[in-house]
Amino acid sequence: MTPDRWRQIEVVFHEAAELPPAQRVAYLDEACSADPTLRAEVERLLEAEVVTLPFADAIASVSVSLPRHGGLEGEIVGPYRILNQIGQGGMGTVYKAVRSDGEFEQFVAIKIIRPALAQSQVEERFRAERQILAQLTHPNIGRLIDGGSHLQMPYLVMEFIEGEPIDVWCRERKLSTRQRLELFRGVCAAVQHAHQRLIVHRDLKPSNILVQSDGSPKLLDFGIAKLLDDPAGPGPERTLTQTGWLLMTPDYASPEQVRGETITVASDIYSLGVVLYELLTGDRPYRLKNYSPAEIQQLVCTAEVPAPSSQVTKASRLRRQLSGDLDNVLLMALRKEPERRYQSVEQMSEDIRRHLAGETVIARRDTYGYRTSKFIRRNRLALVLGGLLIAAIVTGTVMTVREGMRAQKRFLQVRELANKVLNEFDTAASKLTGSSGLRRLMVQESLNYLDGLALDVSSDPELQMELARAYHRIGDIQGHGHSPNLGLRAESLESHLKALKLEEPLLARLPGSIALKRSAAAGYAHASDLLSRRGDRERADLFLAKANALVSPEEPQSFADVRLAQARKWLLEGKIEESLRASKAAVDAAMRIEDPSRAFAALYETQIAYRYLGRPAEGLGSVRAAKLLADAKRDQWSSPYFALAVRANLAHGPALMGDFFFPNEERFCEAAKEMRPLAEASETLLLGDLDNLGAKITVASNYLELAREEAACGLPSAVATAEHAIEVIGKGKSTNDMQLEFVTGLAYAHFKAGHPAKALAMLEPLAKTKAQAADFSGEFELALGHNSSAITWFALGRKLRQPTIKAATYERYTNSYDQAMNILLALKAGDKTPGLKAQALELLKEFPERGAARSIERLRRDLRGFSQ
Amino acid sequence: MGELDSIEERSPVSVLLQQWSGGDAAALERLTPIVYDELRRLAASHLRRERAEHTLQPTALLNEAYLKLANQREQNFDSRAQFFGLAAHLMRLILVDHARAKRSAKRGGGAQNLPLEEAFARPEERSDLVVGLDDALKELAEFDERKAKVIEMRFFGGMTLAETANALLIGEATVGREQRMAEAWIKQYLSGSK
Repeated sequence: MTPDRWRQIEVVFHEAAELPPAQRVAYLDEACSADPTLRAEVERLLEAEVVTLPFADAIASVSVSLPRHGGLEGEIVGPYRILNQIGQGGMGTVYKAVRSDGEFEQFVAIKIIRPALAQSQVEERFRAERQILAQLTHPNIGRLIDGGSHLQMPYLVMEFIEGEPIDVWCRERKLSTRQRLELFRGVCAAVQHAHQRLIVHRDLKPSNILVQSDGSPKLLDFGIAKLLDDPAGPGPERTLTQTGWLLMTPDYASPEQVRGETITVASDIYSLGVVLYELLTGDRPYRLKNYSPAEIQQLVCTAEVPAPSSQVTKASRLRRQLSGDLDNVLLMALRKEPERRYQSVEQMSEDIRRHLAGETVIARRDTYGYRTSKFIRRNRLALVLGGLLIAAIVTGTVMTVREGMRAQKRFLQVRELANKVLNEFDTAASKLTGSSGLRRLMVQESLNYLDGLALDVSSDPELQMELARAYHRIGDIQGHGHSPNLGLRAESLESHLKALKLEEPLLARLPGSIALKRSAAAGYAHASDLLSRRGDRERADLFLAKANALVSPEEPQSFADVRLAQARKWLLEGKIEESLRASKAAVDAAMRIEDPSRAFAALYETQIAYRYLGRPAEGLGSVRAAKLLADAKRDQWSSPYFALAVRANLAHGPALMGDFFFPNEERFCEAAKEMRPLAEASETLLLGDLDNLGAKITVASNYLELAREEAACGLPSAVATAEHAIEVIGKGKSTNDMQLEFVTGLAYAHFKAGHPAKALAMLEPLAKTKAQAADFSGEFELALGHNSSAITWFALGRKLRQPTIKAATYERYTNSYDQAMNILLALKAGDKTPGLKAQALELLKEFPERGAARSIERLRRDLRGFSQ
Repeated sequence: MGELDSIEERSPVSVLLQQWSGGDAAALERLTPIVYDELRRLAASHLRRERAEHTLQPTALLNEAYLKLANQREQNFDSRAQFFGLAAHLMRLILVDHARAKRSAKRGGGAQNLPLEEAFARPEERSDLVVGLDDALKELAEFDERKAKVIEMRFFGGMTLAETANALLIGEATVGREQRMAEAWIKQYLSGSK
C-alpha cells in the first residue's frame, strides 16, 4: 500500500461512511467512476466495518492470564527449554534451562534482558561484546555460551553454576579468617585473568561470586554490566539519577562508578575491597538506607571508610587479626581515588599472601598528603597490563646483549618485541585513556634496546628486516599513522629513517621480497609525509618517488598509505584534481581491506579536495561517508578519545560544506547542536590523558570550532565556549599561530554577542603584526561606525598578508579569499584607494569561474557592485 | 537555592520523559526498564479488575503509575501524555508477547475456515485475536503510523479519546475518524489472513 493510494482510499471511505448505507452506492458510483479498484478497496473496508470483534475483551483476557513475574517457564528459547526462574535482578530475569534438542543434557542459565526499543543497535553491540567475552575461559569464571533474542528481548546463555554466594558460604561453614582470605585469593586470580584481557567486571558483589561444592569460587556475569550499559560509554550525561545506574548495585560500586566516570580495573579492585570487608567483618564499610542519589554520593564518594577492625565491637581475636595489616590492605583497596588503590588485583592478592605468610605488606596507612608519583598516577592501568611484560623483555634482552647471546636468539627477541610489545600491547594500551605516558616510556625503552642492537647488527637479513619493522612500528606510535599517536613528529621521522637505512641495502639484496617492499613502501610514504609537513619538499619528493616505485595495488595497505601521502602532497602543491584521484584510490584500497582508519583518513582528504574544487555536494558525500564509517567501526578505533575527536571534527563538516567561506547560519546552528556533546565527551576522555598534547589540541580545537559555530548561530554560549577552549589548551603551551586562532575565536564570539569594543581590545596585542587580527579589527571598527580606523586596519591587514602567501594550497586559497574580503569591507568603509576593486577581482581568479563555492560568487558580485 | 531544590525533586522518569520529548531517542531506551515492571504489574493485576464491566479504563491506573514513577508534586501534562503513549506501547509488547507464548503452547488447535466473528468467538481464541491485532498494527504502521498509534493507545493503553488526542497532538474528532478507519482496515486484514 503506497501512502498516496491510502490517502485516496481514506477520503472516499470517510465520505461514504458518513452517508446512510442506502446512499453509499450512488456516491461510490460517482466518486470511483474512473477507478474500479479504488471502489473495491473502499467497499471491502465498509463491509469489514460491520463485523464486531472482541478486541477489548481479548486484551483483558490475555492480561488475566499474565503471570506476575517472568512467565517464560516451559518456553523454547533458541535451542533451550526454560525450566524455572532462578533469579531476578536489575537487568532482567534469570532462568535455568536445558538444551531442548535432546543431544545432550546440559543445564544453562539464561538471562533474559528486558525489552529495549532500539533493537538493532542493541543487538549489534551485543554481538560484538559477546565475542570479546567468549574469549574469557578460566576455570573460575562462568562462561558465556550463547546469546540471541527472544520475543524482542535480548538474552544471554551462561554456564549454569550450582553454588552458594561467597558470603553465605563463609558464614554457614564458619570459615576462619585465614580460610576466607585464601578463598578470596582464588577470586582475585580469576579477576586478574580477565583484567589481563582488558575485561572489567563492573559489578562484583557476593551474589556474583559463587562457591561450588568443591570449595572453588566461580565468578558470574563478567563484563555483562558493560554489555548492558550505555553504548555511548562513559560521559557527562550519565549521572546517578539515570538508569545506567539502576543496573548496578550501589552497595559495592566505586566512587567513580557512582559519579558516572570512566570505569577501569581500579573499580573492580574497589568492589573486591567491599566484598572482602564484608567477608571479614560481617558488615560493609557503609550501609545505604534509602538509596537516594544524595545518600549514595555522600557515603560512597565522601564518607571516610572506618577501619575494618573498628567494626568489631568487642575486643576479640578477630579484632586483633584485623587491626594492622588487614586494616591497611582493605583501606588501600577502598581509597576514593582510583589511582591510589592497588595497581592491580594481583598486587592486592599478593599483599594478602604476604600477610598470611607473615611477611610485611606493602599497604600503608593512608597519611595526609600522600601522593603516588605522577607517573604511576597517570599510568596505573596501563602499567598493570604491560609494565611487567616490557620489563621482562627489555631487561632480559639487555642482559643477553651483555652476555653475547647468539643472533638467532636476538632475532626472536626483536620479533617478540615487535609483535608482542609494540603490536599487541600498544594496541591494547592505545584503547585506554591515560596511557600516553606509558606508551612514551615503552617507546623509549624499546628504542634504547633497538639502538643498542643496531650498532652491533649482524648481516643476517632476517634480523635486519625485523629490526626495521620494529623501528617503523615505533615511528607510527610516535607520530604518524592513522591511529592515535604521541604527536612526536620529529622523533617519528627519525625512527622511520633508521628503519629505511636498514631496508635500503636489503632491497638491493632481496629484490623479490614482498614483505620487504611492502614495509619500505609504507615507510617511505610516511617519511615523505612527515618531511613535507616540515617543508622539506625535495626529500619529500624523493621519498615519495621511492615509495611509488615499490608499491603495488596488490598490497592494499601500503598502497593506501602511498596514495594518501601522494594525495596530501599534491594538495599542498595545488594539484587538486590529481590529489582527489589519489585519495580516492586510497579510499578504495582501504575499503578493500576494511581498514576504517585508513579509509577515514583518505575520505577526509577527498573532502578537502572537493572543497577547493567548488564541489560541495560531493564533499558533503565524503563527510557523510567518513562519519558513517567512524560510527560503524567505532569499536575498531584504537582509542575512545580519537573516535570522538574524529566525530566532533566531522560534525562541523556539513556546515562548512554548504559553503566553504560563507556558510549559512542555519547549518551552523545544526552543527553546533551536534558538536557540543561530542566535544564534551572527548574532553571527558582527555582528562585521563593530560600528557598527550595531540589529544589536548584536538579537544581545544573542537571547542574553538564549536565556539565559532555557536557565535555564527548567534548563541550566547559562544563566549564561554571560546574561553573554555583557551583554558583547555593552557597558557604558554600553544604556538603563536595557535594562540592567534584561539584569541580571534574568542574576539569573534564577543563581537557576535554584541560587544565589538571588547573584541577590539582583545585583539589589540596581535592586530599590529597578524593579518587575520588586523582584518578582524577592521571589521569590528566598522561595526562601531569608525570607518576611517577600519580603512587603516584593512590596509594594514593587506600589507601584513602579502609576504605570508605560501605555496600551500589551503593557505593560498584562504589568503586570496581573506584579502578579497578585506578589500570588499574596505570599499564598504569608504576606502577610495585606486585599483582596489581590480586587485580583489584579480585575487579571486584563483577560484574557478564556474562551480566555485557560492561565497566566492557572492563576493565577486558584491565587488562588481562597486563603481570604482 | 530554589533552582537546586527543584532539580532535587525531579525524578529520573520525568527527566527522561523531558529528554525524550526533546528528541533524545536514547532517553526512551533508558526509560523503558524503569517503567516496565510497574506496567507489567498493572497489566497483570489491574486490567483484570476492570474486566467485569467489559470496559478498559486503566488510565486511572496509568495515572497512578505515572504519579508514582515520576514522583511529581504537580502534574506536567505534556509529560503525562507522553508517558501514556509509552505505556500503551509497552503494554502492547507485554500483552502480545504473552499472547504469543500462550498460542505457541497450544499450537495445532484453532479454528480454520470459519467466518471472522466465529473464529474469534471462543475464549480460547482470544490470544489469537491479540496476536492478529498486533500483526495487523505492524502492517498498518508501515503506511499509516498514526492510525496504528491511535489503536495502540485506545486498545492497549485504554486511553480515552481526549487522552489520545492530547498525546498525539490532534483533535478528538480526528482520533475518532482515525480509529474508525483503522478498525475497519484491521478487520479486513484479519478476515484476509484467516
